[in-house]
Amino acid sequence: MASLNALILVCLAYVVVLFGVAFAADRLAARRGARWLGSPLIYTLSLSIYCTAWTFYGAVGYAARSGLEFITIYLGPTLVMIGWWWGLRKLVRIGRSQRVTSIADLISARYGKSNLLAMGVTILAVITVTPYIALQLQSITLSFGAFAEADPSRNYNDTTTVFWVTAGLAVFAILFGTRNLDVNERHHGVVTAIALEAVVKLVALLAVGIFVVWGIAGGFGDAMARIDASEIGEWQVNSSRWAVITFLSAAAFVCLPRMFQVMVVENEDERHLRIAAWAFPLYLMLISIFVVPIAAIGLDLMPAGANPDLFVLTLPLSQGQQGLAMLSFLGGFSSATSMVIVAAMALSTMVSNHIVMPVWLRARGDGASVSGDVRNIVLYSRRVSIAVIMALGYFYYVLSGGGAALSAIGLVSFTGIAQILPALVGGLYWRGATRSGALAGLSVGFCLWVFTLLLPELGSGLLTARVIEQGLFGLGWLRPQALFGIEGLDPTVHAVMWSLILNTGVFVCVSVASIPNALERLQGAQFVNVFDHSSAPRGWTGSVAQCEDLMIMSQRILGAQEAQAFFQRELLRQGGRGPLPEPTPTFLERLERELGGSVGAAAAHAMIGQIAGGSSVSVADLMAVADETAQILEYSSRLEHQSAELNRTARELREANGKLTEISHQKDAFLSQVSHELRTPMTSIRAFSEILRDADGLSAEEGQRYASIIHDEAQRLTRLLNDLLDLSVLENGQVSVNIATGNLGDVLDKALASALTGTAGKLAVTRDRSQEDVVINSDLDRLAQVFINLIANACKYCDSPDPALRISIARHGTVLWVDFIDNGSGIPAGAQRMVFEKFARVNPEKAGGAGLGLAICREIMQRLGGDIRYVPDRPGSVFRVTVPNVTELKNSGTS
Amino acid sequence: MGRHVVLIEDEPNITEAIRFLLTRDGWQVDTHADGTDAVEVILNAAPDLVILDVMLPGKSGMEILKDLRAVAGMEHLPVLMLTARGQARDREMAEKAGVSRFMTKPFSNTEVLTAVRDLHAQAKQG
Amino acid sequence: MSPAPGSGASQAGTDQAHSQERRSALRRRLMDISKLLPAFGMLLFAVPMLWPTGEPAQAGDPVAMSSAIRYVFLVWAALITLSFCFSLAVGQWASHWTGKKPRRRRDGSG
Repeated sequence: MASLNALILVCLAYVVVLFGVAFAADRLAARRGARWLGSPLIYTLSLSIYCTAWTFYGAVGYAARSGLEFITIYLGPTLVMIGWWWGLRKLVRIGRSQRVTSIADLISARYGKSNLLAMGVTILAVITVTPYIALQLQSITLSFGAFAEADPSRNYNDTTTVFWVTAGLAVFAILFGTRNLDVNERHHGVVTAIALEAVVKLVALLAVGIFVVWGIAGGFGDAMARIDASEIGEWQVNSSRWAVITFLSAAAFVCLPRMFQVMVVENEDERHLRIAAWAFPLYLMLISIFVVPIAAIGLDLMPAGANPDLFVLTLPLSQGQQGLAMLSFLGGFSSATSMVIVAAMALSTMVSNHIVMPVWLRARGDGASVSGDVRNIVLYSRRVSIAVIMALGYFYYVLSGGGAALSAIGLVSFTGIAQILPALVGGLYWRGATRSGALAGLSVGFCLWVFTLLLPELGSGLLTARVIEQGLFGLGWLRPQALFGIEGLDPTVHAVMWSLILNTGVFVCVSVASIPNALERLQGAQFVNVFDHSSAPRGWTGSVAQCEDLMIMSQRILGAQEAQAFFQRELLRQGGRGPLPEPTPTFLERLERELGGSVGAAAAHAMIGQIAGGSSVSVADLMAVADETAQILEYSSRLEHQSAELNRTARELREANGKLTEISHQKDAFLSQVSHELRTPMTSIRAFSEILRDADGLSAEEGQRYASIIHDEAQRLTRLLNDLLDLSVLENGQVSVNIATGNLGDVLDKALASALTGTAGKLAVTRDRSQEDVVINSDLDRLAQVFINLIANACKYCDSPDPALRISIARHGTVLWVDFIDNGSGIPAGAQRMVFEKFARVNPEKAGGAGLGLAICREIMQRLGGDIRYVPDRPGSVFRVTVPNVTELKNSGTS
Repeated sequence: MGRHVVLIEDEPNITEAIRFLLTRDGWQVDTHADGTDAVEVILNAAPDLVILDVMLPGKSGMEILKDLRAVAGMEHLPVLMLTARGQARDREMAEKAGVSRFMTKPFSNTEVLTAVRDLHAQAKQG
Repeated sequence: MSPAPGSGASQAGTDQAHSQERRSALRRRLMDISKLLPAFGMLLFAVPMLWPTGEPAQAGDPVAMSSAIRYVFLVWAALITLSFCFSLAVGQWASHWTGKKPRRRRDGSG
């Protein structure tokens, strides 16, 4: 019977099936064809990578050596699973909402995204898991060996087998574990394959167990009797080990990178825990239910000195059950391969994310801006990491000689990885936990683990017998297996106790003593209160409503038409029939990119995460969003500022231009006016002087008359020039104001005398002398000029047959109103506004002046801090002069 | 054989000077000092020639000229325009409005007489 | 585990309040059970630590392996059953968590 060759063929066929399953599952997942891929059953089965070859083969050996103690390895996880509502649910929720990629990532995220901590956890994980991988390789080799022993052809080489097995597993892990980068893009292929393997190993073990109990022994009762009669027929469990290993297995169940990978990272839906909570303990119970019978009957039937670790394989073989042995072999092979693949994947993620990438980015010297380029680097580094981890396991196996040393590795490994527990649990339930505390606790635990367990158990060459006997540096209390002088403890119990107690103690003390930074505090709150921050679980399954939300959001951001076009395109791409595309990771990624173009990458990520991932927005997200928003705000406010400035400048320019144009017009108009006013008298002067010169036969009377016209016009010219000069001086502010104190009555007297000279008393002037007795502070000459002008105007323009002028005075505080009221028809309403303008004349025929009089008056009054205005709607014309700086009202009659 | 002039001018002294000159030259001179009804005055008087000031109360000389030219039969009536503003723009506007001759104040008496005689002669020939 | 169906539209209001109260009480009890379950399991699994072993220093006959196996697996099976029940209860009552609509719409909307 060429059993070894057959075995290799079956083995290869099995591997091909696994590849096929993984490939098909990936394809199905990509097309979202099969809902069952994300079912709780698959999730539960994938958790079974907890049961490695160590438990498949080793459990029987363990039972053969120590009785029922082996079962503690399963009791711990059982307790963790049935307490899922308070423990795992939180872990899974955090893992989802924080988009955690590994246990190292989780610890690092909790403690303020500390990469140092992540590196520490990663290194610890690599150190603990690598020997464990070697153990799996050993089990495969041993099982091959068991077949080879029974095979006459015997051309079998341990090392070669291990090499090919390692290479094959590495290829599998690389192919299905590093196809894509996105954490949300779960490894459906791998998970489905290990679920299949979980079934195979359960079926195999149950088959062997049933064969043993009902095939070899005579049924259940007989089996029990044979157990009681066997070497392990009595309860011989060390109770401290019972408790400690139960605890240890519970801790490892949560902390092991591969467990974290399947339990949290690959978790499709938090609600799967509900099923797994009873289904996985059931799985564990079933897989361990026949362990003791197999061990007892193996001990009974197999020759003394046979390796009890291989009873599962050798017992059927010895009974001639080749097929059963083959199945059993496949079960063991499945246990080993599934563990190795997932462990390598999980470790590679950690190594690449927390060691390779930071180092690479630092070496490059620029920021971690993720581009396609970097994504490729990450994938590449993961692949290399898988290869390196597998190579480490291989070399560890080869160098350790594959001897019995490896069998101890299970608990050593568990103890090592359990050092993460204080930081993990503290991080999940205690907001006061800090980075420094976690780092210190982890370091202490790690050192103690190495010193008390790893070196004494495995590295016998590294730790001399003298150190073990007499302690480090000859100090008795530093004996690795009897720390602080406490002797007599089981080495494992001793190591677990001291390392975890001191780890926790240091963690708590340093946490209390140190002050967390802002990011730590925020993350701490996010973790501890994760159920307040994140939404209830929504798996990919309840996706239609999700997609509607996405559609609504996209329409708001992209605009209705573009969003609809985008969704339509995606629907076509997916080849779906429904009204909306399925929210596959690819679709979400594309949508995120699309939205990112509009609102910024971080905001898009946060929004999609909120809707699709059921994940809460992480602090980094918020910060990135805030950054982007700030940038946008700054940019837009800058734009706004610029445009406001531009507007202001433009307005100023327009105003300036308008003013200039107006001034230019005014100047033109003024020049034109001046020209007109000058030329008009000159025309008369020239015409009449030519007449006087040329015309003969002029009467003396005519000559007289024309001469006087010339004289009048010349005077008019002079007056005009004087006024112009006066106005120019006033307008340019060159006039000097001579403020003097005087009596208003005196000023009026002077003005009346001047203005009425030569008018032959035609104008009757009424005054109220008692009111005029006011002392004013002003330029009295200028004020007199204003009064003269007004009185002269009354003379000239009053159209009453008996022109009369009344001067009335009224006091308002420190100002004085001096009204000049005539009894004429007044100034027409349309012209009232004009009268103070230059060259404005209401009635040109009567104009004796240049039309500058009132303009000059206004200028003067403004200079003096007063005002002059026309009071409308009165019988006759009323000019009101406001005189400021009235100090005193004298008693009438004193002057 | 009419030698009839209508003079529209608001400056009394200038009116008197021109009236004196033209009367001595044998013209019948009607004067008017307001722009508002100047067109009617001209149409009523039906003169051989019009002397028009630009700056007039009520209605500017330019407008009067335009309105006058719009009346049938008045297209070729000689109009001598006098202005004291003397800007190039005014001359252009006047020419557009159909002025026969444009003179800037102050003018010499001979110039006015010559212009009036020339315009009258031209009108008679045309 | 579900409340009795409402007895009619006329009593909908009181029924609603009643079932609401009952629901929240049940939910509280559920949470208590979820806390107690692992502690209970730990306690039961700790019992074998008290058993005498075959060592001469200890008094009493050692417990037979078959009895030990029976005890451990019975406890185990019991815990699994309890966990299964709890899981069902969660499915029924923690609708906010499972994302399901409550089984009996009448309870919620009257």
